[in-house]
Amino acid sequence: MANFNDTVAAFNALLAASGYLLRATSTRVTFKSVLFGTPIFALPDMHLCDGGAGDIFFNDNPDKPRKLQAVMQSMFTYMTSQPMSARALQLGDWFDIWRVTGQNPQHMTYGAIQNAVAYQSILDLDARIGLAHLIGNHDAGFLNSLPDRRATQPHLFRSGFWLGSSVYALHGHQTDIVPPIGSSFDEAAVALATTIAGFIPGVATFESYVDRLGFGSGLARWLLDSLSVREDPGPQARPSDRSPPPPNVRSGQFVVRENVDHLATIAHQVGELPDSGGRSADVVIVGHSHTPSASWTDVTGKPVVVVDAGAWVYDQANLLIAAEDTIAVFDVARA
Amino acid sequence: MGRNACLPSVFVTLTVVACCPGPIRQLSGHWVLASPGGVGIAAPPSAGAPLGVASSRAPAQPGCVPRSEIDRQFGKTCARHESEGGAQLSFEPPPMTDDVPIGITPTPGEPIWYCDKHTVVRVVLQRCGTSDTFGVSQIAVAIDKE
Repeated sequence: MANFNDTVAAFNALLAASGYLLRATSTRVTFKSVLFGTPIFALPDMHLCDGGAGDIFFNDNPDKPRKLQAVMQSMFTYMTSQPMSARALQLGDWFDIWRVTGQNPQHMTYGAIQNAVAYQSILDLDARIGLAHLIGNHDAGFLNSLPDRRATQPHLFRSGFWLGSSVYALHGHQTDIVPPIGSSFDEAAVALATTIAGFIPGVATFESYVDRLGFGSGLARWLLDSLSVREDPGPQARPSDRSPPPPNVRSGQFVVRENVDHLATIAHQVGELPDSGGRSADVVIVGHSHTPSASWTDVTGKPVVVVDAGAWVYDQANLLIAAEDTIAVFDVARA
Repeated sequence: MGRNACLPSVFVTLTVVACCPGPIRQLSGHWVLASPGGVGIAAPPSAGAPLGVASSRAPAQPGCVPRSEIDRQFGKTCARHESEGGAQLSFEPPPMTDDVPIGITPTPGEPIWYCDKHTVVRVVLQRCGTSDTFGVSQIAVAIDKE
């Protein structure tokens, strides 16, 4: 089994070849048992736009795509030099369709992003890795039409993914909007979990899939709204959590974050689905807020740690690595 | 027989003939050949014979070329085109609540859409093994009737 420090050291060695390194952040949690038997590399929100003014990934900085290319090349090399050694995931908002087209595209309007010269090497690596992507609120158009280069792999674009038996990942935007009148969040969470776990682009249109579930027009409309292309809410205050850490954690710094109960509840409801085969989330990995952090809740009857992996917008460049008993978020910086 | 040898041969021209008696109008000034035998600039047409890649321009690996090479021959990819999504009857969905796969899972193939004012060319590529080179498995052309 890959040790956490060895995994980080191996990745750092690959990254160093391109002139970058991983720098630790305060987001790091070590558990008392092994939860990450297979290492995980998770890239958070990218928001790739058209490479021009207003592109919050590119940010008028030619080093930014080079840095992402170096990270993805390191992921590719790690997983090809040690086959079946790790899982790689991008946590949603890969493209910023909302920012580039301002609409929910039923047809492919991603050309400005896909054709951006600065992103060709990144999109090459995305296709060579076959990177799994969560679908976020800025690229929710992927629910109905995938990027050209990935059109043959709809099963790798999901609203939620398991990463082993005790880790679940979702983008995190699903808890932004208030449930429909007359419904509690717990009721809505069942509908959300069923949709997040079950819908795969290409099986049906997203609207027809939701219609078929028969939740009623109020809940169906809410599902379409909560999972559709839209802007983010503003930043949230996250004070330090001074309470004792959960009993399954050896060490870690936690914050009090918004929606932690809701995120854990959705992952719990996914675990309750028969097709989850008894898997149950001890850790939920999310993006969306752009702020790396770890928080926890026992709202589902057991401790669940929610780790936010940050983003690549503006000056940020974060990478989440989990292996053995530890999960942590790093800054990617110039060596 | 190699896999690519089973694929249909397709020839696409980026050269069109305008109304007589004007000069021959050329969009790119050359023919692009994409077939199991090769992808590249074709020798000029002659005596009704099938086109072939000009020997001086034949790729080192016939039939498998970098995607960028195909882009260079075919021109501009579309800013907007029909959906590659929707509902595919032939698509067999994986189980609900699937895991992220372990290791790499390169795309087996990729569509590319090339657009001109009145013409859309959809090229379907097949990856050559796990390399970063591709062969062409299908080309379809749509021409605006108006």
